[in-house]
Amino acid sequence: MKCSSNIKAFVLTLVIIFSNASYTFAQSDKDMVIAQMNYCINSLTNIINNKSIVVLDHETDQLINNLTMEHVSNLYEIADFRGSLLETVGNLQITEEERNILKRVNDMKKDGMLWQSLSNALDPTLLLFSGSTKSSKLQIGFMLLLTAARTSVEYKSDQHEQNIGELQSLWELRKKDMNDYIQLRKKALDLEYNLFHKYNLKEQDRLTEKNAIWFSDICKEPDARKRLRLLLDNRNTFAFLTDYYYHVGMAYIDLNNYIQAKPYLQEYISRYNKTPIFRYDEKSGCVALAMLAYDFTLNAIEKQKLIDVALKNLPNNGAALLQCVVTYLSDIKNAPKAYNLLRLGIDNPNMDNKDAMVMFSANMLEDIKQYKGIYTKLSEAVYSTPGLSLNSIIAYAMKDNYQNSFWMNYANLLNISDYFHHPWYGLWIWGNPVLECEFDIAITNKYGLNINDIKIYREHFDGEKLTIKQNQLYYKNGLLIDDIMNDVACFKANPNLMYLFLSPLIEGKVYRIKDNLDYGLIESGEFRGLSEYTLTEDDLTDIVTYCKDKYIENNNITALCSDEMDDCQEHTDTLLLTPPIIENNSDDILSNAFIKGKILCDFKGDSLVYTPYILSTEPRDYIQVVLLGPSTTILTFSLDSKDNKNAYLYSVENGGKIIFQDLKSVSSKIHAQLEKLEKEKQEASQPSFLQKISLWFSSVFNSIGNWFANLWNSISNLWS
Amino acid sequence: MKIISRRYILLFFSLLLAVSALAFGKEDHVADMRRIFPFIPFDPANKKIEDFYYLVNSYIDYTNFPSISGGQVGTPLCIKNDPKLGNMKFANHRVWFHWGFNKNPRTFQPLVNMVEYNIKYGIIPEADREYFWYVLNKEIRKRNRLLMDKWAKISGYNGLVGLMASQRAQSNAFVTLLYSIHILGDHQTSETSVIIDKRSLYGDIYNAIDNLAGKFISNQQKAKSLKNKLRLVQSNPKAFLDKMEKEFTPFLYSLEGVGYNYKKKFSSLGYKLKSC
Repeated sequence: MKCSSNIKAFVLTLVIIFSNASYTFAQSDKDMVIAQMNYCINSLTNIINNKSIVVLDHETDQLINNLTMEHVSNLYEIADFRGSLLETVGNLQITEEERNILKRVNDMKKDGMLWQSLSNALDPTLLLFSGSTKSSKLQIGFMLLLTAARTSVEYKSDQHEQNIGELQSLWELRKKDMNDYIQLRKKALDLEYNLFHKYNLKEQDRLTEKNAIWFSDICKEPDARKRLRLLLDNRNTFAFLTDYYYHVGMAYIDLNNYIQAKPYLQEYISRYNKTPIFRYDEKSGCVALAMLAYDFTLNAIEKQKLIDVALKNLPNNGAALLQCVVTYLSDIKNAPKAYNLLRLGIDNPNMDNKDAMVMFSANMLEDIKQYKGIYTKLSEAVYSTPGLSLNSIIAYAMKDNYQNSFWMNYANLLNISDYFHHPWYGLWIWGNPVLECEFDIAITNKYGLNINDIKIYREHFDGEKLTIKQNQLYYKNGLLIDDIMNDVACFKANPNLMYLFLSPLIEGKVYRIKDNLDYGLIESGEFRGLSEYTLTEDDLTDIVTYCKDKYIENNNITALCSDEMDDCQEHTDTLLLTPPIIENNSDDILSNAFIKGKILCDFKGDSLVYTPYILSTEPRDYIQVVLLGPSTTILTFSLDSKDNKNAYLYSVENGGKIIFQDLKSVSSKIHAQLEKLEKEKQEASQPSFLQKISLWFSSVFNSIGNWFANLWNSISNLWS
Repeated sequence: MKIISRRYILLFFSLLLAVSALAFGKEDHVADMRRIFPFIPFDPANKKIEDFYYLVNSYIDYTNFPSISGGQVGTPLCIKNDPKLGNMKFANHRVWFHWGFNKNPRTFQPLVNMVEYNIKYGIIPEADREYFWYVLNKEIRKRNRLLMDKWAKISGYNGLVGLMASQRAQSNAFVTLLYSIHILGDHQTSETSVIIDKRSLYGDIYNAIDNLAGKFISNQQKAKSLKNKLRLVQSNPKAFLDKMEKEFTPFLYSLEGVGYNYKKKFSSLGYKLKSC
């Protein structure tokens, strides 16, 4: 009897446990429903509110590919709504062509200053040999990487984007789709309302349309102080939203106040883990990165855990991956793991910011080469990655130069022609070659090119003084915006229309006709995007005539022109020369031949972004092409000795290291010059034939002079 | 016993309504589409269009859509073959897909009543109500996607995905018109209580006409004129269709502007068009 009562008690306990479990499950189910619906409403509001093709792309990608169904699959109302959502958003998501434009524009608008600062902050010596406490330079690097990683997750009012006509044009074509998104949001709000009644949920946990818009507006506020103020002011309205804690935490991070940020970030993680609605959560990844950047109390195991969280949740975010790589190098001191992660990132076809990764690899290549297996795989990954920029591939190939591979495969990506001319003095008399102010540059378009990241200088050394003149660079066959607008009336009437047929070479200024335009489709009015403009048949004829007339085949080459910079300052100053180290050089005489110290320099231009080198006192002319980026490369072009017309790549410099195309010839020239100088010295110490004659004559005249002097002395003595 | 007798009554009504519904067959619907749309009937060049007329009929009537021949009217297979919903009873095939092309079936009272009837008499548990709508909406999305995608291809596009907003609106307008022609045919029969009301249907037709005209002011005036002519006869579905036969093709040919010159567009795609 006692036994049976025990069994009863046990069964009762089990019932209580299971009933509690089922209650818990039901509760978490409800929480998931609320979280999912609030997310959908917020996401649709972001699309409608931000008026940005970038936001549209990111949000639709999250809705289609990231939102999980795991916990709500048995809730048919939600499943039904998800079906509508996927159907509508799937039909409206941006096309592959639009995505390529977005990628190109993103590459173009990359903040040069940010990467430059990063380059300073991520100095290899600093990363590999810094102590346990982070230097302020490295801390800046961490902060910059965190900011870059967050850019694709959060939407601040982006002034850059407003000014990019091509993005505006893409958005204009999508404007009418907003009706469908508004309908979807309405459906989501109705459904949420019904669910709240059905499950007797708390009304204050429900997101209304007005509040969704208000929250979206606050989160995109670029001024962190104002954003924080508004978030804290509206705590009661938004505190039920998991995202609220993320945004408050990150606003504090923006204000460099990690102590205040930490509890909010932890609250976000805790709330999110209760209702994990995504396959991966980008915001959790950003929180992990923020902690890695700002929390100095973490031990190696905690850092490793945060790295795992960041990588899992930001699988395609290049800046996040770089921050993890840097943490491995500087904090955890596990270089092989860092470099392997870097290689994984470069090999990942969906990863963004690959140029920064390749340039970072170039900077660290000396150290990476120690780990032969990783180095080989990394090089294979870099050389097989499509879509890299010219600047990054040249920087890496130069630093690598495995078995002279740079000179064999990458030295001819950029060619300069017609930059010298020979003055003709009549008859058969030609003068010495003279450097032209204006010349052409042809660049293979296999790699990406941002004209703003290339600086050109003409460098003349006369044996004593250095003269550097900066050139400007422009597209040879580019069409100027004013001319385009004047030539095609319907472009003037519909400024965004031209982006269907022209792609920008320099945003807002210079354009070219797109390749592979289907003129038949344009003429019939069926060309994609035309239907969204109010056009007549004559407009179409104008467009086709103009495009056919102005189209220049690219022949896999981007043709650039360079000439003297207008409206720039000219000044003279002393310049401190820092000689580079010659790679793979055992010739000490050559290494020591660089002129060190200060030299007088005339500079005409707006900024000098490199330090020149002087290897020989002989007068010479160079063209210096500086490829900017986290790893700046300087290409030095000299006059081709064969045809005296074209330039050839004489040397390449990156990170204080230099390689010459023909090291032997450079070395022998230096030796020959040194020998010549030595000879001149010796000759200067021994009198020449003429000197001997003059000495003889002077000695003769001296002796004659002496004789006359003696005679005069004798006479004067007699007199006296 | 009570339930059995109710089931017999329901079955009797079903048969009665089915017989009355057959009064307007699929060939009559297609004949209406042929006389109203601008494509020359039976011309081999217009085979895709002809097939599409039948596909619209299949969308509305057949359980085994997208089959265009040998289809059966009745409960869609997605409901009939579902283990949870297979026993549900519905009075008339017209209760399915006759609620208007762009409409939400949950606001279509005849179907809502029948679902509630099935719940009330325990044929499905109340807990399965949402499941029913989930399954049905999934089928509607599937049918809509297929139909719209087909018309987008007939119109020279790669499919529904990637269409610009105005192209989607145009595609939707043509499909809505064909759909509405079928429903107006049904409105000429005796059984009209379980199909969308004429007023809502005309609203859909007028919206479709506006979408075909687009944003050009001259086109909008032409659309307004056509709608006014149609409004005069909208009390009589047959007269409405006759008016459409007389006025729709000239209206379509009169539209102009890039993307709205349908005569040029369909001719260039190789379809044979009526002269008017």
